[in-house]
Amino acid sequence: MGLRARIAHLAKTGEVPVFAVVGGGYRSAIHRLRLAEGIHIVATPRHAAVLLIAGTLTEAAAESVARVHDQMAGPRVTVGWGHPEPTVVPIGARATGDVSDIATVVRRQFHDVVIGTIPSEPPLLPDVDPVEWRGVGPYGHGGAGMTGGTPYGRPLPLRAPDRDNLELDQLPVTVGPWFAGFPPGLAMRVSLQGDVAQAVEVVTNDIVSAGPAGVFARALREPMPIRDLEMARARHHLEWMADALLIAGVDRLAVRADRLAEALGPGDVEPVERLMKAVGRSLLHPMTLRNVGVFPPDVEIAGLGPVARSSGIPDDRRTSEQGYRDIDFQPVTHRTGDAWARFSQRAAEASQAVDLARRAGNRSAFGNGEVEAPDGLHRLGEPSPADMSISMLDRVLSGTEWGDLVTIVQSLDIDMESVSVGNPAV
Amino acid sequence: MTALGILAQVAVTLVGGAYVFTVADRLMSASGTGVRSALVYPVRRLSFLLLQPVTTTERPDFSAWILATALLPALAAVGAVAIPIAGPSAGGDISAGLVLFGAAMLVVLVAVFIFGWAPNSVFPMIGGYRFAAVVLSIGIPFSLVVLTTAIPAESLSVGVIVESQSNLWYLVVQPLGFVIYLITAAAIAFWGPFDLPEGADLAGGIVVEASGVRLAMWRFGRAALMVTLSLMGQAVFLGGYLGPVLPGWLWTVIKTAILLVLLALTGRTLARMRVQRFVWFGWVVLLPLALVDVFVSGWLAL
Repeated sequence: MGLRARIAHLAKTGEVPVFAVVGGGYRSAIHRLRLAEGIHIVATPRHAAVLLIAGTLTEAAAESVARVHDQMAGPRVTVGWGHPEPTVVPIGARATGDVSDIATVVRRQFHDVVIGTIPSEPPLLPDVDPVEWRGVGPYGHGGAGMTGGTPYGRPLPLRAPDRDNLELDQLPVTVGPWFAGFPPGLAMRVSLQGDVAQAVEVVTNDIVSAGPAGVFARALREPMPIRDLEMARARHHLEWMADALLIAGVDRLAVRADRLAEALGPGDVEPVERLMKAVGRSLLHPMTLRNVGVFPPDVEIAGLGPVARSSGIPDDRRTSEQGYRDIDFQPVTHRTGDAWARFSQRAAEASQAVDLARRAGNRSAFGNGEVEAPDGLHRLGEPSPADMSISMLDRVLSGTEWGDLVTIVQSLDIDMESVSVGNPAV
Repeated sequence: MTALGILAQVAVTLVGGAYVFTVADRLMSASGTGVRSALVYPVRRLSFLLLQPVTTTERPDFSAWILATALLPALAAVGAVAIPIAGPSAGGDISAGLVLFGAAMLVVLVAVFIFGWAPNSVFPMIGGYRFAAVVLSIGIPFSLVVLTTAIPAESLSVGVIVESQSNLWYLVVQPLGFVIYLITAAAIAFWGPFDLPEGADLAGGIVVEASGVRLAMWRFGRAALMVTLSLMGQAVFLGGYLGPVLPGWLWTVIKTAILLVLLALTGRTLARMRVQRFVWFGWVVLLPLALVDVFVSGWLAL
């Protein structure tokens, strides 16, 4: 056995580093895949061996997904999960079943590509500079037209005053649509000064197509059982909390939140509260979330559900539904309106939801063109909460440090599947 | 000890320590795998990284990237030379070992900054910037609490400092210094909750573009850095190789392992601190407390 074969023999059964491109209808499924044994979802394609393309994407996604694909160092394979034809990039293997199916396929493909029985995938894009290099010398010193402008297709940093009125370089970069800290599909052009985002502009894109209608989308047109609505709400909030905990670097608690979301049953108030106690011990509030993302009073947040309620606006369409009134529903609110208030708001709503689900019996609610979904109020033919959130991003993000920017974007719970095409703000 | 002997001792210490640290971290990480799979995890992980080619980016600074990757484990080794493992004579019997250690640990700033700068990519660059802010904020308290252990011992040699703890560990005399040391050590090793250059909000920050042997080397460098910092922590606060019954080197191993596990556990349990709050914390909280530590220890030594 050669040296490479020996090394491959050791590596083949190891944990599989997977980079996930998450399309319509698969955000929740990826949370469950995180719990599968031997699968590690990584934040950058460089560290991945398997590119997982889950759910539905539009043709506009092809270029960005190919770019992600080519960043994988290799040995690399692409796996599709519920990703229909025509696929956005060529796919080596696919699965349509549940988490255990895809985990098996991913592990098998990884095993095969590591020992070499299937070849590592070739690059999809040519490896060339975006525009011909015209600088002189290895770093472009001294070439013509090097002061400002775009000497090789990449704008040079321009100077602008920073928050202390010092003239410093501003670096224009595009982040997304598959940046692990953002909701899948969200891309932004950011002017960075050091680690401060001085200006932010959401990139017009339409790359995540809507997946199959969930319980809240169906509640727009027909009454749905409160029990189903509230269990879906609790799961959604727990998965959101898992994302927030992942970004805050407490992966252990993120896994715990995901595990709870998977196993949650009606009336399971106590496990949610225990999770919240553990979150308190992780010092998430004082270290990371306190005073982050408090919006100026002129930013319109009514209709943004938990975001509004965490600033003390007791605005919840469930109060006008007979089914909810029967079981004595009262909206929870928090006051401070910072990222921590949004976190504890969602935790409180999750534990309230499992309690409501237990008491709901077979009552139903909604069905008349509007529904109080986990991310806010959805109305037929009106802009979704995601549209509203995106239209205010430039105002609430400009001037924030990068870490805070990611925290704030995550705290808004933007679902790119529900962004309306042609929204004037996008 | 001959030069070759010292080299061998440092190499064995760092590689062994890095293995212990990686296993401990794995056991405490999210995956919650069993002990057996955690024990083989470093080997499997290394073999996968050996299979990966080292990728590059658009117009990186090649030489700086390679240099930074090698600098990190080298600095950990330089720091480790100053620490006696088994008995009174330090590796090379360095009379100002504490100063050498302090200098090596602060140069970690250069390694991390360059590692972030070299790939010519935005998230690594922000990670590098952040680390500059981190080390500037805690460099002084870190150096102060390390040097304060030299006051009662009246020597900058780590061997002498260990010997002077034969009656009482400095953990008891300078508890404040020990706590500040652990906090600042975690920050210098860019380890949680102060892993700002590698934060999840940067999708991995300085390591975003690193793959293959480069990533393996960098990961080893960080683990070795944690080992060196834990070695020094137990030497100047926990009495180093001093202890009953067992041989000295075993006491060093036990105490270092305890600190490594403690650091791994806190890193995995606490949420990452925001960079602004960390800078505030360094200047407004840690620096005055470190000065209190100096004054109290000086007063006690009079």
